[in-house]
Amino acid sequence: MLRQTPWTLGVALTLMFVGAAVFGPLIYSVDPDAQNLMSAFAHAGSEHPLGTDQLGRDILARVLHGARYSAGIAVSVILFSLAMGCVLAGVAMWFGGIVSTALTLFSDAVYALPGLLVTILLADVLGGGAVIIIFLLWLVAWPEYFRLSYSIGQHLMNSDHVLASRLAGASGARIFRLQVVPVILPYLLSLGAISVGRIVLSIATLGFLGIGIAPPQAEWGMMINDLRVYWQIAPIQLAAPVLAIVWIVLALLILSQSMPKAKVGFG
Amino acid sequence: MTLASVLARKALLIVTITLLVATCSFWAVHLLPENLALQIAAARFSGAEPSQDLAYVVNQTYGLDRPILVQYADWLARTLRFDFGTSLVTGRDVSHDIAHHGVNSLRTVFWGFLAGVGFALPIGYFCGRFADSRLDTALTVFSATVSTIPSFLVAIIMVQIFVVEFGLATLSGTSGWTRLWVLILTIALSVSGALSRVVRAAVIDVRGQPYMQHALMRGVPERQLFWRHGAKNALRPILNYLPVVFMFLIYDVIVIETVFNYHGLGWALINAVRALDVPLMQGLVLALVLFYLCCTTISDLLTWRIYRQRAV
Amino acid sequence: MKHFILAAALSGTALMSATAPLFAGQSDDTIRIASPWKIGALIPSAGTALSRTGVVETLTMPTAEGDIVGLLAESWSSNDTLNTWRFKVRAGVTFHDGSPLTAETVAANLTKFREESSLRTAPVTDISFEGDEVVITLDRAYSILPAILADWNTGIISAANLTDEPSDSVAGTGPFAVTDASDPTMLKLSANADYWGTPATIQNVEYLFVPDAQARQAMAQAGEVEFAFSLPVTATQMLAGADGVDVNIQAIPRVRALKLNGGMAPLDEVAVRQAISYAIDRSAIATTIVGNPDTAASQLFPASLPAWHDASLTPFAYDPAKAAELLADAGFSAGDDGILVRDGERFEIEMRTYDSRPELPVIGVAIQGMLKEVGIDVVMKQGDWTIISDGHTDGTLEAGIVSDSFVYVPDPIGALSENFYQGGGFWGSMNWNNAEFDTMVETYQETVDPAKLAQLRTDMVAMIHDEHPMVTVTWYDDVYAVSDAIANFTFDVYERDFGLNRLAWAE
Repeated sequence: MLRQTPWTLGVALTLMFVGAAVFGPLIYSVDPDAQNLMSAFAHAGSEHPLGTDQLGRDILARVLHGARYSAGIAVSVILFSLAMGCVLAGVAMWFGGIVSTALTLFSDAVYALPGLLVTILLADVLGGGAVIIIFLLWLVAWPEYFRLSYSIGQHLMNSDHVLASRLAGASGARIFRLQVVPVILPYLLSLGAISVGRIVLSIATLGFLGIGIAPPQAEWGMMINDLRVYWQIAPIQLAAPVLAIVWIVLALLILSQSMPKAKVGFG
Repeated sequence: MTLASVLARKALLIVTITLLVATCSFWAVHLLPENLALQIAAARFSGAEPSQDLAYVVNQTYGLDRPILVQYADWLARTLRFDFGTSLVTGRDVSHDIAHHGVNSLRTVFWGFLAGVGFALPIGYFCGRFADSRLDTALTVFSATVSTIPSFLVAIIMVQIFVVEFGLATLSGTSGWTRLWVLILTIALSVSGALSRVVRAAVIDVRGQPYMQHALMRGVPERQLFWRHGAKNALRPILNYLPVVFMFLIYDVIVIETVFNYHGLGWALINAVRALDVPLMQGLVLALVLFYLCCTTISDLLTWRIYRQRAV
Repeated sequence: MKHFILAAALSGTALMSATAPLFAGQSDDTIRIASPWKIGALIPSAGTALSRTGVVETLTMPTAEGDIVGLLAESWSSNDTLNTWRFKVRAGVTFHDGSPLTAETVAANLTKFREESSLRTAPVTDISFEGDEVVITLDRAYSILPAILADWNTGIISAANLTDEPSDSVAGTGPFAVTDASDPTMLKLSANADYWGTPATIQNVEYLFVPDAQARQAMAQAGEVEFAFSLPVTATQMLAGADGVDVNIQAIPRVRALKLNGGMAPLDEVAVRQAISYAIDRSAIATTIVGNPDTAASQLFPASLPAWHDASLTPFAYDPAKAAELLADAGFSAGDDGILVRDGERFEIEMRTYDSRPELPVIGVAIQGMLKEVGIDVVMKQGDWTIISDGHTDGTLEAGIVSDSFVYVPDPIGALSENFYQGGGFWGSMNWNNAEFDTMVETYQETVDPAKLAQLRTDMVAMIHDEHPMVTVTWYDDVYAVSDAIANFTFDVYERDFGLNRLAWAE
C-alpha cells in the first residue's frame, strides 16, 4: 500500500496539472494579454487572484495559458518523437542489414548532440514561434524513442515466444499487436514521462533566454525573466510561474520513478 | 575491444556530428531571405551604410556568388579546419573569441564538475548504504528538488542571496575566488542533484548482489567488502550516466553564465544569438558540442580502461 | 595501469593549472563602470565606449550651455560663403603611442571614418591639411560643421591604428589610455600622465560590458562597480536601502520612439501613422513604465531644448476612437479575428526591440497591446540593437522601438539631419522622403540669420509633428547609480564623456 503512495501522488499532481492546462483557461476566462497599465503590480485580491504584472496583465490567466503552451509543445514533441522513433525502429527491424546500421549510426549521432544547443542555434534564425520550437525539439528528441523501441523490439524478435508464434504461423501484424506493443508500451510511457519534464524545463529555459518566443505569449520562463527585476515589488507574481514549473516537473519525476514496471521480463 | 577501435568509433562520431551541425547552420542561414552579403558588409565596414556596390565586392571576396553546393562544400571544409571567419560584431576572428571565452568556461566547469561529483558520491553512498532511513529521505527530497528547479532559477536565487543580500560574491571579472565560488557552487548543485540519485541506486544494487550478500553472511566486514569488491562494480552505472551529466552541464553553462554575467562560451552564445552574429553563433555552438564530446570520450576511455575485459 | 594513472594525473594537473587563476585580487584605485553597450571594434565610430571613458577626443566639444568650444582644435575659421573650414590642431598633443597629433593624422582620420561618422551627413567634398590646419571643403554653405565634429563618432586615433585589420589596441589622445583590450567584453584603462589637459587623479578604469540590466543593478547594489547606468526604473526603489550607493535620475535630451518603415504599405500613408500615434497612450507608458508622468511626449523635442520645443503645437493625444476613424477612412475594416484588413491584406507589422535600455522592450509590449486595441497586429522580435540598425540598412525592418539623443551633435539640427533627412537614419525615420523637409534642413545648415533659423525650426518641427515619420512616445530619464566613494560626478547629458579625469575619491 505504502509503495503505491508516490505513484498515486504523481498521477494526482499530473492530472491536476493537465486539468489546469486544458480547462483552466476555459473556467478562468480572463484574457492573459489584456493590459491595464494603470493597474500594474496590483496586489493579489478578488479582482486578480495572483495580482498583475508590470503591464497590468492578470498573472493567474498568464500562468494557466503558460501551462497550455508548455504542455502543448511538450506533448506534441513526445507524440512526434514516439511516432518517428517507432516507425524508424520498425523500418530498421524490417530491412535489417545496412539500413539498420545506418539508422543506428544516425540516431547515435543525433542522440550524442546536446539538443538544446541546436535549438538555440536555429530557433531565431528560422523565425521562432511554437511550431519552430516543436520542430527543433522534436529534431533532437526522437533518437531516444528509436533506440529504446529498436533494442526492445530486437530482443523480443529473437525471444522464444515470438519465435514460437512465428512458427505457429501468426502474421507480423498480429505478433506486433499482441506481443510487441504490450511490452514496449510501458517503457515508452515511462520514457515519455521523463522527457515531458525535460522538455518543459527546456521550454522554460528558452523562454527565460528569450529564444524562439515573442511577446505577448504567456510562457513561464519569459514571465520569470520579465518579473525578476521586480522581485521585491511583486513577489507573488514572480513565485507563481516558478511554482508552476516546479509542480509539473516534480509531478512527472515522481510519476516516472514510481511507474509500475512492465510485467514481461526484459534485459 | 582495443583502444584504437574505441577511439576510431569516437572520432567517427565526432566528425559526423560536426558535419551535422555545420550542415544545419549552413542551410538555415542560406535559406534566409535576408542578404548575408549585406550583413557581412555592414560588419566589416562597421557602421558604414553598406551599398549595393559594397555588396558586390563582398560577394566577390567571400565567394557568395558561387553555386550554393560549391559554397556548402567550402563551408564544410572550413568548418573542419575550425575556420569560422570573423565576428559580425567585433570584427575579430571567431576562433580568437572562442579561445578567450573557452578558457573562462573551462575554469568554472572543471571545478564545478569536480565539486558536484564531490557532493554526489558521499551523498549517494550514504543514501544507498542507509536506504530508506531518515537521512536517505531527507537527502533524496533535497536532490529531487535541486534537479526539479530549472538552473536559471537556482542561479537567480544564488545571485539574490550571495551577491545582493550578503555581498559575499561579485558579478564582474573572470577570476578570483569571490567571483568564482558561487558559480562553481551553482554548477556543483546542478551536477550533484541527479548524479547522487544514480550513485544511490548503484550502491543499493551492488549491495543487493548475491556475492555481496554471501560474503556478508560469511562475516566479511561490510566496509572492507564494499571498497574492495563492490566499488568497482558500483562505479560502472555512474560512469555510464556521465554523458547525461555532461549534457546538462553544457545547458547550465549557458543559463548560469548568462545570469551571473560570466563571460564564458554560454554567455557569448546568448549575446551572439541576440545580435544574430551568425559566424560567432556557429563557432560557439560547435565549440560547446565538441567540448561535450571530449568529455564523453574521456568518460568512455575511463570505462574502457577499468572494464576492458568487456565490450564498451 | 601505471601509465594510465600517470597520464591521468598529468593531464589533471595541466587542466588545474590552466584553470587555476582563482586567486586574483581586485585592483586598487580603480573606477569600475557597468555599461549596457558592447565595446565592438576598437575604432571611435563603433560605439561610445572609447569616447565616454576619455580614450579618444574629438576636435570640438559642447559646453554645459551648449556652446561649441575647441578640444583637439585650438580654433577654427571659415570663409565668407561658409563652405571652407579651417581647424587649427592643438599643438603639443601626443597620442598614447607617443606619436604627435598632427593635422595630417586628423585629416586621415576624418577621411577614413567619414562614412561611419556624423560627417556623412555633411556635404563634404574634400578633407586635406595645410601646416597645422585641417581644411574641410563642402559643396555648399554649412554653418554647423564645428558642431558635427563634436559628435563622439568623429574621435581621432593614432595614424598607426588607421588600418583595415582588426586590432587589439588603440591609441587616442585623452586622459586615459587603453592598457588591455584583449577581452572583447572589457576595457582596461590607466591614466595618461602626459595628458595635455587636466590629468586624472584616479589611476585605473575598467569599463565592463554587462548586457543584463538586472546584473548591472545587482553590481551597483553590491558596491562592485562605482558607476552603472541605464538601470531599470525600479532601481530607485530596489537600491533605496543600499549602503554606499546613490541612485539618481537624469533627464537627458533624448527620445523613445516607434520607428516605422515609411516605404512599406500601409505605413507609407500619413493618416495611418497618425492613427498609430492616436492609439498610443503616452501618459500611461510614462507613468507606469518610465516612472515619470512628465516624460510623456507632447511633441518631438522636450522643453529642455527651448529653441526647438514649440509650445504652440497641439500636444499628441491619446484617442483610440480617432485612430479607428482614420484607419476606417484609409479603407481598413475589421476582419474575423478583429485585425484590420484592406484588399485582403491583414494589418500586421513586425516590431523589433532591444534591451540595452531595459524599458524599451516593456514599452514595446505595451504598444503592441495598444495597437491591438485598434486592430493592428504587432509581432515582436527581440534582440540587441544591431537588429534595428541592420534591419534599417537591409530594408527588412518594419517597425522598432528606438531611442536616440538629440545632442550627440550638440546642435539638434544634427539629429534631424541624421534621422529624418533623405530617407532617415538608424534611430530615426526610415524611407520617409520629403523634399520640402530636406530643403529646409539644407537651408538651415547654411543659414546664420537667427530669425530665419527660428522660422525654419518651427516649420521643420511642425512637419514632423504632423506627418509622424517616426512616432514619438516619451522623452527620456536615465536611471544611474554612483558609489558614494566617488566625488565630483556629474552625468553628461551629451552622453559623450563620463568626465572620469575630473573624478576623485571622496574623503
